[in-house]
Amino acid sequence: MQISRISHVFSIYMTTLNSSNNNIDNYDIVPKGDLVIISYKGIFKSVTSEYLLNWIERFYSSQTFHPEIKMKCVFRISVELIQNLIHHSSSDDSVFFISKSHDGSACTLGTSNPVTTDQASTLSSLLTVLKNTPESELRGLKKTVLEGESRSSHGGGGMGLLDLTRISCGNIHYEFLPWPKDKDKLLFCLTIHLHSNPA
Amino acid sequence: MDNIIISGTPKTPEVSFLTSARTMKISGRSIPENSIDFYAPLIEWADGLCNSEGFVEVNIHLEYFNTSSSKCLMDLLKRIEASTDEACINWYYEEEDEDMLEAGEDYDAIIDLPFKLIATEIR
Repeated sequence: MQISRISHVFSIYMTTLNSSNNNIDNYDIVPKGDLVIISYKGIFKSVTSEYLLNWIERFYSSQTFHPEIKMKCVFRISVELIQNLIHHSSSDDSVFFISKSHDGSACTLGTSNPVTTDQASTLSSLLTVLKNTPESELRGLKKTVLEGESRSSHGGGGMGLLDLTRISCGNIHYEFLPWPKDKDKLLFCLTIHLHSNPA
Repeated sequence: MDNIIISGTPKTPEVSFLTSARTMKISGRSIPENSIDFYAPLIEWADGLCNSEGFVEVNIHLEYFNTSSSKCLMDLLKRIEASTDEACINWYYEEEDEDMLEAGEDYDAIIDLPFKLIATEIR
Protein backbone atom coordinates (compact mmCIF):
# COMPACT_ATOMS: atom_id res chain seq x y z
CA MET A 1 0.00 0.00 0.00
CA GLN A 2 2.85 2.33 0.80
CA ILE A 3 4.37 1.74 -2.61
CA SER A 4 1.13 2.67 -4.34
CA ARG A 5 1.03 5.89 -2.34
CA ILE A 6 4.56 6.67 -3.41
CA SER A 7 3.69 6.17 -7.03
CA HIS A 8 1.32 9.15 -6.74
CA VAL A 9 4.02 11.58 -5.81
CA PHE A 10 7.15 9.95 -7.10
CA SER A 11 8.15 11.20 -10.49
CA ILE A 12 10.97 10.76 -12.86
CA TYR A 13 11.35 13.72 -15.10
CA MET A 14 13.41 14.16 -18.17
CA THR A 15 12.24 17.66 -18.78
CA THR A 16 14.18 20.85 -19.02
CA LEU A 17 13.28 23.25 -16.27
CA ASN A 18 13.40 26.97 -16.62
CA SER A 19 11.77 29.85 -14.88
CA SER A 20 8.65 29.72 -17.04
CA ASN A 21 8.29 25.97 -17.02
CA ASN A 22 8.64 25.10 -13.40
CA ASN A 23 6.02 22.41 -13.24
CA ILE A 24 7.09 21.04 -9.89
CA ASP A 25 6.21 22.83 -6.63
CA ASN A 26 9.10 24.15 -4.59
CA TYR A 27 11.68 23.21 -7.18
CA ASP A 28 13.04 26.69 -7.70
CA ILE A 29 16.35 25.44 -6.39
CA VAL A 30 16.90 23.25 -9.44
CA PRO A 31 19.59 24.93 -11.54
CA LYS A 32 18.07 26.69 -14.52
CA GLY A 33 18.21 24.56 -17.65
CA ASP A 34 18.98 21.35 -15.79
CA LEU A 35 17.28 18.07 -16.56
CA VAL A 36 15.55 16.68 -13.49
CA ILE A 37 16.34 13.00 -13.40
CA ILE A 38 14.44 12.03 -10.30
CA SER A 39 12.26 13.87 -7.86
CA TYR A 40 10.05 13.07 -4.92
CA LYS A 41 7.76 15.23 -2.85
CA GLY A 42 6.04 13.92 0.24
CA ILE A 43 6.72 12.40 3.61
CA PHE A 44 10.02 10.52 3.73
CA LYS A 45 9.94 7.09 5.35
CA SER A 46 12.13 4.03 5.23
CA VAL A 47 10.18 2.55 2.34
CA THR A 48 10.48 5.82 0.42
CA SER A 49 14.21 5.69 0.85
CA GLU A 50 14.43 2.11 -0.44
CA TYR A 51 12.37 2.99 -3.47
CA LEU A 52 14.32 6.15 -4.29
CA LEU A 53 17.76 4.62 -3.79
CA ASN A 54 16.82 1.66 -5.94
CA TRP A 55 15.73 4.05 -8.71
CA ILE A 56 18.84 6.14 -8.38
CA GLU A 57 21.08 3.13 -8.91
CA ARG A 58 19.08 1.95 -11.88
CA PHE A 59 18.81 5.34 -13.49
CA TYR A 60 22.39 6.37 -12.94
CA SER A 61 23.56 3.59 -15.20
CA SER A 62 21.21 4.80 -17.93
CA GLN A 63 22.36 8.41 -17.72
CA THR A 64 25.32 10.02 -19.38
CA PHE A 65 27.48 11.63 -16.74
CA HIS A 66 31.03 12.81 -16.95
CA PRO A 67 33.28 9.99 -15.67
CA GLU A 68 34.42 12.22 -12.81
CA ILE A 69 30.88 12.22 -11.40
CA LYS A 70 30.93 8.83 -9.72
CA MET A 71 27.88 6.75 -8.96
CA LYS A 72 29.18 6.04 -5.46
CA CYS A 73 29.39 9.74 -4.74
CA VAL A 74 25.87 10.43 -6.03
CA PHE A 75 24.57 7.47 -4.02
CA ARG A 76 26.31 8.48 -0.79
CA ILE A 77 24.99 12.02 -1.01
CA SER A 78 21.50 10.74 -1.79
CA VAL A 79 21.58 8.46 1.26
CA GLU A 80 22.53 11.29 3.60
CA LEU A 81 20.05 13.77 2.13
CA ILE A 82 17.15 11.32 2.17
CA GLN A 83 17.94 10.09 5.68
CA ASN A 84 18.17 13.70 6.91
CA LEU A 85 14.59 14.14 5.74
CA ILE A 86 13.50 10.86 7.34
CA HIS A 87 14.98 11.90 10.68
CA HIS A 88 14.28 15.61 10.71
CA SER A 89 11.18 16.31 8.61
CA SER A 90 7.65 15.02 8.98
CA SER A 91 6.22 17.41 6.42
CA ASP A 92 4.54 16.11 3.30
CA ASP A 93 6.07 19.13 1.56
CA SER A 94 9.56 17.65 1.83
CA VAL A 95 11.36 17.42 -1.50
CA PHE A 96 14.33 15.51 -2.87
CA PHE A 97 15.63 15.77 -6.42
CA ILE A 98 18.61 15.04 -8.64
CA SER A 99 19.25 17.02 -11.78
CA LYS A 100 22.03 17.19 -14.30
CA SER A 101 23.33 19.71 -16.78
CA HIS A 102 22.68 19.04 -20.45
CA ASP A 103 26.22 17.93 -21.16
CA GLY A 104 26.36 15.72 -18.05
CA SER A 105 29.33 17.61 -16.65
CA ALA A 106 27.45 18.69 -13.52
CA CYS A 107 24.97 17.05 -11.23
CA THR A 108 22.89 18.72 -8.53
CA LEU A 109 21.22 16.98 -5.62
CA GLY A 110 18.84 18.92 -3.43
CA THR A 111 16.26 18.84 -0.70
CA SER A 112 13.80 21.27 0.74
CA ASN A 113 11.70 21.00 3.86
CA PRO A 114 10.01 23.38 6.29
CA VAL A 115 11.87 24.12 9.52
CA THR A 116 11.19 26.23 12.57
CA THR A 117 13.10 29.48 12.98
CA ASP A 118 15.11 27.88 15.81
CA GLN A 119 16.06 24.99 13.53
CA ALA A 120 16.95 27.47 10.80
CA SER A 121 19.24 29.31 13.17
CA THR A 122 21.00 26.09 14.21
CA LEU A 123 21.37 24.90 10.61
CA SER A 124 22.63 28.28 9.46
CA SER A 125 25.29 28.38 12.19
CA LEU A 126 26.48 24.86 11.44
CA LEU A 127 26.57 25.33 7.68
CA THR A 128 28.36 28.66 8.01
CA VAL A 129 31.10 26.97 10.04
CA LEU A 130 31.37 24.09 7.57
CA LYS A 131 31.48 26.34 4.53
CA ASN A 132 34.18 28.47 6.13
CA THR A 133 36.31 25.47 7.06
CA PRO A 134 39.11 24.93 4.55
CA GLU A 135 38.78 21.67 2.64
CA SER A 136 42.11 20.55 4.05
CA GLU A 137 40.69 20.79 7.59
CA LEU A 138 37.36 19.07 6.98
CA ARG A 139 38.89 15.62 7.26
CA GLY A 140 40.40 16.42 10.64
CA LEU A 141 37.07 17.84 11.77
CA LYS A 142 35.32 14.68 10.65
CA LYS A 143 37.78 12.56 12.61
CA THR A 144 37.15 14.62 15.72
CA VAL A 145 33.38 14.25 15.39
CA LEU A 146 33.74 10.55 14.59
CA GLU A 147 35.79 10.00 17.71
CA GLY A 148 33.45 12.07 19.90
CA GLU A 149 30.92 10.47 22.18
CA SER A 150 27.80 12.29 21.00
CA ARG A 151 25.14 10.10 19.45
CA SER A 152 21.62 10.82 18.31
CA SER A 153 18.83 8.34 18.97
CA HIS A 154 19.42 6.74 15.57
CA GLY A 155 23.18 6.53 15.91
CA GLY A 156 24.33 9.63 14.05
CA GLY A 157 26.10 12.47 15.69
CA GLY A 158 25.95 15.54 13.52
CA MET A 159 28.15 14.11 10.81
CA GLY A 160 25.71 14.22 7.92
CA LEU A 161 26.22 17.84 6.83
CA LEU A 162 29.94 17.58 7.49
CA ASP A 163 30.22 14.53 5.28
CA LEU A 164 28.14 16.19 2.57
CA THR A 165 30.46 19.20 2.66
CA ARG A 166 33.51 16.96 2.30
CA ILE A 167 32.14 14.77 -0.47
CA SER A 168 31.11 17.82 -2.51
CA CYS A 169 34.45 19.59 -1.93
CA GLY A 170 32.53 22.43 -0.30
CA ASN A 171 29.99 22.80 -3.11
CA ILE A 172 27.10 22.78 -0.67
CA HIS A 173 24.64 25.67 -0.69
CA TYR A 174 21.62 26.57 1.37
CA GLU A 175 18.95 29.17 1.72
CA PHE A 176 15.86 29.74 3.80
CA LEU A 177 12.77 30.83 1.89
CA PRO A 178 9.41 32.04 3.21
CA TRP A 179 6.94 29.17 3.53
CA PRO A 180 3.45 30.44 2.73
CA LYS A 181 1.72 27.54 4.47
CA ASP A 182 3.04 28.56 7.89
CA LYS A 183 4.51 31.98 8.52
CA ASP A 184 6.30 30.70 11.61
CA LYS A 185 8.36 28.33 9.47
CA LEU A 186 10.90 28.67 6.70
CA LEU A 187 11.66 26.40 3.78
CA PHE A 188 15.19 25.05 4.17
CA CYS A 189 16.66 24.46 0.70
CA LEU A 190 19.92 22.55 0.50
CA THR A 191 21.73 21.85 -2.76
CA ILE A 192 24.94 20.03 -3.51
CA HIS A 193 26.68 20.48 -6.83
CA LEU A 194 29.03 17.92 -8.29
CA HIS A 195 31.16 19.05 -11.17
CA SER A 196 33.45 17.12 -13.44
CA ASN A 197 36.07 19.64 -12.37
CA PRO A 198 35.27 20.60 -8.77
CA ALA A 199 38.16 23.08 -8.58
CA MET B 1 28.07 -17.54 22.80
CA ASP B 2 26.13 -18.24 19.63
CA ASN B 3 27.40 -17.19 16.24
CA ILE B 4 25.75 -14.19 14.63
CA ILE B 5 24.98 -14.75 10.96
CA ILE B 6 22.92 -12.08 9.19
CA SER B 7 22.28 -11.94 5.47
CA GLY B 8 22.89 -8.67 3.70
CA THR B 9 20.04 -6.47 2.53
CA PRO B 10 20.07 -3.33 0.34
CA LYS B 11 20.48 -1.31 3.55
CA THR B 12 22.26 -3.54 6.02
CA PRO B 13 25.49 -5.50 5.73
CA GLU B 14 26.12 -9.19 5.78
CA VAL B 15 27.41 -10.16 9.20
CA SER B 16 29.34 -13.26 10.18
CA PHE B 17 30.52 -13.28 13.79
CA LEU B 18 31.92 -16.72 14.60
CA THR B 19 32.67 -17.70 18.17
CA SER B 20 34.96 -20.68 17.64
CA ALA B 21 36.93 -19.04 14.81
CA ARG B 22 37.06 -15.79 16.80
CA THR B 23 36.41 -13.78 13.69
CA MET B 24 34.02 -10.96 12.89
CA LYS B 25 33.15 -10.02 9.35
CA ILE B 26 30.96 -7.15 8.17
CA SER B 27 30.52 -6.74 4.43
CA GLY B 28 28.29 -5.07 1.86
CA ARG B 29 26.31 -1.92 2.53
CA SER B 30 25.55 -0.30 5.81
CA ILE B 31 23.01 2.46 5.36
CA PRO B 32 20.22 1.72 7.86
CA GLU B 33 18.15 4.64 9.09
CA ASN B 34 18.74 3.52 12.65
CA SER B 35 22.25 2.17 12.95
CA ILE B 36 22.08 1.72 16.71
CA ASP B 37 19.32 -0.87 16.35
CA PHE B 38 21.52 -2.85 13.98
CA TYR B 39 24.91 -2.48 15.64
CA ALA B 40 24.05 -2.63 19.36
CA PRO B 41 23.78 -6.46 19.44
CA LEU B 42 27.01 -6.76 17.43
CA ILE B 43 28.89 -4.51 19.85
CA GLU B 44 27.59 -6.51 22.80
CA TRP B 45 28.64 -9.77 21.13
CA ALA B 46 32.12 -8.39 20.34
CA ASP B 47 32.52 -7.32 23.94
CA GLY B 48 31.74 -10.86 25.09
CA LEU B 49 34.17 -12.45 22.65
CA CYS B 50 37.02 -10.04 23.35
CA ASN B 51 36.73 -10.60 27.07
CA SER B 52 37.55 -14.29 26.58
CA GLU B 53 41.07 -15.41 25.87
CA GLY B 54 42.43 -15.66 22.34
CA PHE B 55 43.22 -13.64 19.27
CA VAL B 56 40.38 -11.90 17.47
CA GLU B 57 40.29 -11.01 13.77
CA VAL B 58 37.96 -8.32 12.48
CA ASN B 59 37.29 -8.04 8.75
CA ILE B 60 35.42 -5.04 7.43
CA HIS B 61 34.64 -5.00 3.73
CA LEU B 62 32.02 -2.36 3.13
CA GLU B 63 30.94 -0.93 -0.16
CA TYR B 64 29.11 2.06 1.34
CA PHE B 65 28.23 3.18 4.82
CA ASN B 66 26.25 6.15 6.05
CA THR B 67 27.44 8.55 8.70
CA SER B 68 25.43 6.94 11.49
CA SER B 69 27.00 3.58 10.62
CA SER B 70 30.43 5.21 10.75
CA LYS B 71 29.76 6.20 14.35
CA CYS B 72 28.55 2.70 15.22
CA LEU B 73 31.59 1.12 13.57
CA MET B 74 33.73 3.40 15.69
CA ASP B 75 31.85 2.21 18.79
CA LEU B 76 32.45 -1.40 17.76
CA LEU B 77 36.16 -0.91 17.19
CA LYS B 78 36.58 1.12 20.37
CA ARG B 79 34.88 -1.62 22.36
CA ILE B 80 37.22 -4.22 20.91
CA GLU B 81 40.21 -1.97 21.60
CA ALA B 82 39.09 -1.49 25.20
CA SER B 83 38.57 -5.21 25.76
CA THR B 84 41.70 -6.76 24.27
CA ASP B 85 45.03 -5.99 22.70
CA GLU B 86 45.02 -9.39 20.99
CA ALA B 87 43.11 -8.30 17.91
CA CYS B 88 43.72 -7.10 14.40
CA ILE B 89 41.49 -5.24 12.00
CA ASN B 90 41.50 -5.83 8.25
CA TRP B 91 39.87 -2.99 6.35
CA TYR B 92 39.12 -3.93 2.73
CA TYR B 93 38.43 -1.28 0.11
CA GLU B 94 38.08 -1.41 -3.64
CA GLU B 95 41.12 -0.02 -5.38
CA GLU B 96 40.36 3.51 -6.63
CA ASP B 97 37.74 3.96 -3.92
CA GLU B 98 39.51 6.81 -2.18
CA ASP B 99 36.62 7.49 0.17
CA MET B 100 36.75 4.00 1.65
CA LEU B 101 40.53 4.14 1.85
CA GLU B 102 40.37 7.48 3.67
CA ALA B 103 37.73 6.14 6.02
CA GLY B 104 39.99 3.20 6.85
CA GLU B 105 42.91 5.53 7.44
CA ASP B 106 40.78 7.61 9.81
CA TYR B 107 39.83 4.57 11.89
CA ASP B 108 43.44 3.42 11.84
CA ALA B 109 44.54 6.79 13.22
CA ILE B 110 42.06 6.57 16.09
CA ILE B 111 42.07 2.87 17.03
CA ASP B 112 45.18 1.57 18.70
CA LEU B 113 45.18 -1.96 17.29
CA PRO B 114 47.03 -3.52 14.34
CA PHE B 115 45.14 -2.23 11.31
CA LYS B 116 45.64 -3.41 7.74
CA LEU B 117 44.29 -1.52 4.74
CA ILE B 118 43.76 -4.05 1.97
CA ALA B 119 42.94 -3.03 -1.61
CA THR B 120 40.69 -5.37 -3.57
CA GLU B 121 39.86 -5.50 -7.24
CA ILE B 122 36.85 -3.54 -8.41
CA ARG B 123 33.85 -5.85 -8.58
